[in-house]
Amino acid sequence: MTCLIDGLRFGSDSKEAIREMRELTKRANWLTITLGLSVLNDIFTKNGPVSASYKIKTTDFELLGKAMASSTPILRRKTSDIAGEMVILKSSELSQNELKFWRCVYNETR
Amino acid sequence: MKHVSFQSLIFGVVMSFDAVAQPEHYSEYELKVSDCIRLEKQKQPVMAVDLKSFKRDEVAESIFYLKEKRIVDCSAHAELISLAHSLQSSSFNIDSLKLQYLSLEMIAKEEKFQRLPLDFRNDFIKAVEGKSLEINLLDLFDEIDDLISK
Repeated sequence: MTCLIDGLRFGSDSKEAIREMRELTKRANWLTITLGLSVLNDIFTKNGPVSASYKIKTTDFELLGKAMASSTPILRRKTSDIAGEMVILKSSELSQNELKFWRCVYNETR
Repeated sequence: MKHVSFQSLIFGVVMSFDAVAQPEHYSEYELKVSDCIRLEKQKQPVMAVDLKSFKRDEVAESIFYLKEKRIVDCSAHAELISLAHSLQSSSFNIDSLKLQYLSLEMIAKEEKFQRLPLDFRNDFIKAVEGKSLEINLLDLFDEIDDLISK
């Protein structure tokens, strides 16, 4: 599955999930370093507001997957659960781009 | 000499510091969680057909809870020891503990599960008994959605 997503806008449910993700990644300093300049670093580890629109490449998700593969089992589990719950429980409230985003996060973090 | 990127090197160093900073009781808890997940994965995976008689939304609500409960039950002793140590620390913070331990966040999922009809809960638990929930849940729900639409 390719994970190129252009013009991604997050709605309120996604923003809440991102807030939870940021809480989780606060303890994982290494994640910021691994994600480097990836746009996912802005989304998942920064404190600032979520931008109006994102373009995310497949390689950004692959980098997240690589970082998570070396992560602790609990962090990995909690992040994949957040992403999985977004797709399975909130699918009717998400845009197609948001759904694709959370699917890609799930597949890279599980 | 093998090429090592600067980023990998920094990553390795930071990970080492993280590992050193982690108390032994917590590392043991994490090891136990990994072990429990490994044991769960050895079971036969649950399939969409096992769940076809249930409502999709009830399955969706329940499966994350039950998946978590199994790991929490399996790692309970290690978690209790680690939590006890963490609670003895003068700097413990409940929000931080929720992120570090599985059982604390499971309470909210359990409350939602308990609100579902008793018959469903009993039947669902029976339907997934002995089967692994440590699978790709998105694939499972894609299959469930396919079954529903047929």
